[in-house]
Amino acid sequence: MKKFMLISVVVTTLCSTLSSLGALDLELTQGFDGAIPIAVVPFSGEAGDDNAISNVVVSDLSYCGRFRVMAKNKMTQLPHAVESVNKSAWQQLGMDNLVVGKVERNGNKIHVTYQLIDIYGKEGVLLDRTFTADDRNLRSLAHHISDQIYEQLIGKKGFFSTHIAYVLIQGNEGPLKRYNLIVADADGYSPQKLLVSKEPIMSPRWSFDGKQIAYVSFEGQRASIYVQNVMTGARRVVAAFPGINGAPAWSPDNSKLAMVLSKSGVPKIYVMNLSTNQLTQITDGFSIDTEPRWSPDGKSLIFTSNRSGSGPQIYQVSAFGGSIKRLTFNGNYNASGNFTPDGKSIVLLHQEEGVFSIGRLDLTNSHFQILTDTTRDQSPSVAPNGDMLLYATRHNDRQVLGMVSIDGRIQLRLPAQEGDVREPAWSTL
Amino acid sequence: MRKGQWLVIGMVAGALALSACSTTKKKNNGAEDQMFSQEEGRTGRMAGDTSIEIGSPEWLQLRKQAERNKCEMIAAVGGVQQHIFFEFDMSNVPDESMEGIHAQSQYLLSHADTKVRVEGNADDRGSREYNIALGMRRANAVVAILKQDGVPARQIEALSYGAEKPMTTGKEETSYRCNRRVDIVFLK
Repeated sequence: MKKFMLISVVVTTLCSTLSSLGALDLELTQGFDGAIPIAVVPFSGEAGDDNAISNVVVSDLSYCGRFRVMAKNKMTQLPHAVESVNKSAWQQLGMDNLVVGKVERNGNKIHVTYQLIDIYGKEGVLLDRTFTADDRNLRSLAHHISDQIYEQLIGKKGFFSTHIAYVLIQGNEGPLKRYNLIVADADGYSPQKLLVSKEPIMSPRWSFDGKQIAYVSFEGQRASIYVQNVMTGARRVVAAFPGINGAPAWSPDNSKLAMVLSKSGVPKIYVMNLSTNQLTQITDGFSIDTEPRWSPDGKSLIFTSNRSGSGPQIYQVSAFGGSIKRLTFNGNYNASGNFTPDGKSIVLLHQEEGVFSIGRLDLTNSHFQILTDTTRDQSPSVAPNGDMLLYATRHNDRQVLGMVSIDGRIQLRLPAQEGDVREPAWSTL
Repeated sequence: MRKGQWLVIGMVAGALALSACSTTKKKNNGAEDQMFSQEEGRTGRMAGDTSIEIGSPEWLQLRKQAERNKCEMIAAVGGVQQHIFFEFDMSNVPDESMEGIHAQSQYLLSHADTKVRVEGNADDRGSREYNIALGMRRANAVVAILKQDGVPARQIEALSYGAEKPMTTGKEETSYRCNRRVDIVFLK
């Protein structure tokens, strides 16, 4: 028993799966009317369970909100190849696009063929692909197929093969409370614990190559910044100065980590060169400066500061320090800024009349837009293709994750089955 | 049916959805406003004192005291020796907490082997990392008073938990107030 008490932190690798927590069930709370009608016919040779390729593709295309996916029981025929497709029948059902496919087992190998068919176009078959997989990577293959369909029909890269990280809190306040750092597929499946601790875990951030996660852990009753390899579980402390060691942010080339340290007495922005551990102080003065994030070109940082005296606002500074420019002027609480991948907008946490929402500021024309209908939002994180963002919010008195499209037209909820979920981070690959 | 027709139907449906949204998309009031209206609806008046008008300065003062007492009780159960509560987005130590902090200083001065960890906290609204910074400011404000009283730096460490270690998990102003605090924790 004594031995058990001593272990307050458990570092794990991707081999240890989370059995108690199922997937985050995606629930579309608000769709939009420009959704593209598409039918995904069950592939021949499939078991028909949740992991069947056609079911995963249906789930992906449904939750992203950009498609109106036909229900199986509405289908009047179930073709498996373009030759047997009766286009006029699908036209009558109101479909624009059709996905058909086959799954064939040959020993341990699984051969998968699918076609994306334009019901109206002259081209007919838009995509015709064949893959070889095994049982372990069928879901990954299905996400890859979803990505191809999304890119073909929407004109942008899909995000179905990307990953998310988040902090899961289980147990009430007290000795049974556990903080878990979780990594999962973008649709919430295959959640795996990277770290379990009795003390808070905060601010997970993916490196741009998707191999490492930086985070803050309070193990040993002090805040330290760790960098952990996602595949091997190996980790190291990169910052453990007196006071705050917080808000790590990877540079786009993964060579540096911006962070917040209060070793001078006041929380300030620093940049650490990860190969030399050399620190450069970026901001100074007596104000709170926190939440640094790199611009996509790596040349500048945005950060949250109360230097103006009118609550937290978002500012921009060169990655080497120097003059500081204020970016937000709308209201008296703007924080947690993140660039969109094109560098043209920042998404942020905005408070007005006690309501905390996620908003987007267009840096090219200063237009500001509230994206979410929820009222207790935090921690926005943008998808690598810039189409959607993840954030933390409250639903039915629980902390859950929400997803919203970058134009605010599509909103989703990802309720966890057990515990509170916060601080989502979308991988960059 | 052709694609063009779908587009028209989609636009009409979109217009309908938009007009529906504009009436239903109403944000809540601030957390504090909500709490006031709830309390008035439920009790009508402060129990046991019929001469005080709800919302009057005396009423606000009494209620603030009641909230503080509640927080103190919760803290006592948690085994924390000393706690200082703060206003929203503020890090200046309230006057009524000074006496208690000076008492801790006297104890630390007479027990040179004793160490304290001064832990700053914030309510869980808003940015989690900004709340870490706010908690640190609060902790540093208390540390400054201990140091002014002559307590050597080696007896003090400071830490901010931000919103990560709430005293209460309620989602109304009374609970938020309990969570905007500094705990002085004695280390062995």
